[in-house]
Amino acid sequence: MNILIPHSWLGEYLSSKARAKDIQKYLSLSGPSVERLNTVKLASGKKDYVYDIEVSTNRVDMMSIEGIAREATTILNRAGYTARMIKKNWPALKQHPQRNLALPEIIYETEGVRRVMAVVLSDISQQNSPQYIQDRLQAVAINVHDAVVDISNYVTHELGHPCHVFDYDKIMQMGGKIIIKEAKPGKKFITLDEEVHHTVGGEIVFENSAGEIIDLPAVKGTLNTGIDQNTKNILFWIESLDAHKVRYASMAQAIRTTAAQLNEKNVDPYLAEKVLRYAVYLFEKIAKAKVASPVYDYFPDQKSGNKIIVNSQLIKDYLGIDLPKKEITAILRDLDCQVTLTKDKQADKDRQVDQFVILAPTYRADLEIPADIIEEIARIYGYHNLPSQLMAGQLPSEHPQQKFFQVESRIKNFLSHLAWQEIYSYSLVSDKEALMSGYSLASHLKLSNPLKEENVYLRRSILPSLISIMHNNPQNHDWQLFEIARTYQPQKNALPKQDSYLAMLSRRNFRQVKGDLELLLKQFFILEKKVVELVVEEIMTKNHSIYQQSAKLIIKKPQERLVLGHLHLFEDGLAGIEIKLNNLLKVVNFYPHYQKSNQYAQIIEQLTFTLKKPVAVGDFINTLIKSHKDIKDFTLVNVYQDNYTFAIIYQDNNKNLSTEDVEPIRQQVVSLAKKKFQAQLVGKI
Amino acid sequence: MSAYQKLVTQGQDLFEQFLQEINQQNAQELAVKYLGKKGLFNQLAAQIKILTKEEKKDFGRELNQLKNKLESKLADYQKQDFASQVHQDLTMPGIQTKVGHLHPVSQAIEEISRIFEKIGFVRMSYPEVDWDYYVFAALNMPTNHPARDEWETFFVDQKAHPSLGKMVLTTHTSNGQVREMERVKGQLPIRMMNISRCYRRQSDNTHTQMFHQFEGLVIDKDINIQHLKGTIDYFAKEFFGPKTKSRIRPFHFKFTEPSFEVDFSCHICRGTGYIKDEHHHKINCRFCKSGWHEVGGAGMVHPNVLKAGGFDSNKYRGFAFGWGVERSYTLKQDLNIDDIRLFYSGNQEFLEQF
Repeated sequence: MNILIPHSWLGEYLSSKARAKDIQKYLSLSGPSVERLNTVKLASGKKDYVYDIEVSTNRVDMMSIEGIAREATTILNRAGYTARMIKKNWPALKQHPQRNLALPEIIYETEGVRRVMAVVLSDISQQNSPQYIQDRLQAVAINVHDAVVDISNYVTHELGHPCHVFDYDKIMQMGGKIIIKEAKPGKKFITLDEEVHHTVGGEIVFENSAGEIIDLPAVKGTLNTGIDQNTKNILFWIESLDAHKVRYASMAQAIRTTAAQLNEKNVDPYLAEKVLRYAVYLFEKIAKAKVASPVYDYFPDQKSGNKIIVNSQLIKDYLGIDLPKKEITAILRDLDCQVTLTKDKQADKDRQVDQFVILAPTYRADLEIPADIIEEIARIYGYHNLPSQLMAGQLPSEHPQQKFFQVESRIKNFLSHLAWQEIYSYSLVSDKEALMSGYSLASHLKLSNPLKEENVYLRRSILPSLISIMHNNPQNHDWQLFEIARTYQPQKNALPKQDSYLAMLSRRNFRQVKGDLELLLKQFFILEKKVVELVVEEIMTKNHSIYQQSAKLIIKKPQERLVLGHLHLFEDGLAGIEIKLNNLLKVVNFYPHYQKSNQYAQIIEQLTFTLKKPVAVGDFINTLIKSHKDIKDFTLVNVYQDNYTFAIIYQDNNKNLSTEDVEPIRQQVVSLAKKKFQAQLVGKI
Repeated sequence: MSAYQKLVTQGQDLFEQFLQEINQQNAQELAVKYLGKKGLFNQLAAQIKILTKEEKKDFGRELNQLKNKLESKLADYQKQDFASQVHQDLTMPGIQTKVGHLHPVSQAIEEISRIFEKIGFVRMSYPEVDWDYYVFAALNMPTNHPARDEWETFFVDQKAHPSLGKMVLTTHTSNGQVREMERVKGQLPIRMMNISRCYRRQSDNTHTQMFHQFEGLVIDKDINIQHLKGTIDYFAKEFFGPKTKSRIRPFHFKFTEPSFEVDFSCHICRGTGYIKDEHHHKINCRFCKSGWHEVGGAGMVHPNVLKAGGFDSNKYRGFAFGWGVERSYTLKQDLNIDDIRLFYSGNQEFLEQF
């Protein structure tokens, strides 16, 4: 919540020589944050400084001129300035001897009322507010109306407790009863700004005896009892309701007025008296009003402020320094707390720990536990006055996810160096992108309150997002994208599986993409010739799928198969890969198995085979490379129509191979190729 | 001289002969003459049959070494050959290999992780889609509490968990706090860092529906406010430069007490709050609030949160802090990004500048 405080208005409560700039600085350091100090030129031609102050939700007591002044006084005094709080007093209400109007009958049918104060004022003279009120309202960005409305806004801003003005005669004409109750659902009411609403049920409302809603208390007035230009008599009204109930009504009706935002945060009901006196004083002075009834005051549950006991050792533990008792007491007293110093009887007798027994003022309902008190001491002492140091002590010995982050970082760096652009895209996708994953909409998690149509589903696959980005950037013909992010797989009665995936999408040929993946696997020393290999198993794609072809990417070891992820070819020539990082993690290494160099001569030759369709060159190579121990490598070097040329390296670990030694191996290769793959050698051996 | 020695000598002679013959013009030709299929070395190798098994092995090795030496000599000459032919214009522009780019968010995350790892923080991750309990309730924010308004929460259209509540997208990284306390099961110290995607229902030039936060949580005996200040100062200087100042101011979060807002000094107006416009008039700095940037929140872990995580708040204390990765990154001096939606635009022109 932000509040605007004109410097001149603040001066009615704060007496100090501190300049606006200093007030801004020290309030920000020890109290509410003064986000801006603006200079405002008013309609009257005057200039004023206006503080734009952010007040945290637990400090509704500072949502007023008086509240800020109180805070500023305490803070400035400790920042080396002399500051004094000016107490303003208004006369007690006296009924006008010639006026006597009956108060409406108020009936309580709910326990959610903490206080009601009301009084009838007659002989209202409708006119404009005096210039100083208009100026100040303008400075704090509140619209200027007529004097009656302006006064209630003005007093609310100055003292921080909302109040309301009813047209007294309308209330009386509607039966003269105010029944305070929780609404039944579906009841219609029209607010002051002529908006039609219906209750959802459970909001605290005022009804007349006929069951019509005549106010949405603590949130907004209704048209049927609001003042207009013919209003002669008013019922000035201050209510304090259960904060949860106020919030409920305000949220349910989506009416977020200043009144609601204050009332839902437990405004101190003890403020009501002051508000009543001040407002009536202004009504009398400006609108020539006369007090026409006794003051009504219903205050069933008068609570004193909270009592909190704080051990001095705890203060030291939080602050890391030992503040003198005198200083602690002085700070708390400056904050209107009553403080008594005793000894903690439960503590060690030799150490005689002091304890502070604190009674907080009623407007500080936020002070509940010792940590709250310590916060007050520390901030007023000044966080900026506390030393700053890093903690000593032991370090955690476990790093359960270190490997994951290490691998993730390496992948990102490696791929970006290989000309892949890293992307961060939204995890929330459109229905179209959701369907592109191959999963139905029903097998996606969906937001119940999305902000935009294109961000509704939690994605099952990252590739559709990358495809969209690729399409949005058509100019680059060899762009390649990758992203590491989670996908979200729904599970029954549980959180979704949220596994991290690496997705890669490229406009280049799929062999280049696969090649980069192989290089990546080599970075982690996963592939080992003839022992650990990357195998591709094609899977049938459904007709409706956007994939033209799909395959599983498998890491195959002698005794083990691990599905790493998938390779997809899309209709528009894009090639994509999606790898489950947790699976990759199972096979990564951070160093190789060093192989001693083989001194014996290699014999290298090329053989060309004609392979029949459908061809699986990968399987062909994987089979033949393993067909003899002396075949060290078997690589594809050229493809011409159906003819595939391979470079074969023969090498023995214990001797130099002769041409005669190679002869039978070659024979074996050729016959195995024919037998298993119907591959025909081109030429003769 | 044994047959073996004879062959070895012949090999060495061949190499010597090659050295005599080689010049800058004939490297290609000699390669065929010595190393070709019917080259002199293969002819010599053909005589291997006359050797014993043991000698064959040694001779093979010897011959390989000579061939290797010869190959490298050839390569040297070929290089010189090339160099001698053309005078190179050394002012020609370099030819650059195409590279990709790490996303700026990744760059920021790597930097932040490194900074905190140096002081013993352990990086962890937790669910991005989590139960209300971990995101709010366990953090001292019961259902319908007004404090929740500040977190514009996305809800997942799923049945609520009987005890953990609704399924939500994490609005902050603080869901990791109680999860981490549960994970360590009383084993201290905790120095946890959680950097993760977060989601809030808002979108403008300083807010995106998805963004990243990083969170730090320290729990141990004898932890006090000074340590929180120390950690924040340390980060500010490491991340923004040694002249950066940081400060903590009072604020309110339900899950910390005391709570702070963390500010870093503005590098654009040098912490003054004013800059000069084109007419040299003093105007408010557009980038900060009176000389300071609010980057995030921090505080001493609330006793109720410690309790929810199974720790006795009388014995242990802790502090936590959390703020936006993008926000922190855009405060880097002279980076000049004023619209954080760019990070998630997938715009090539933007991305390739990083």
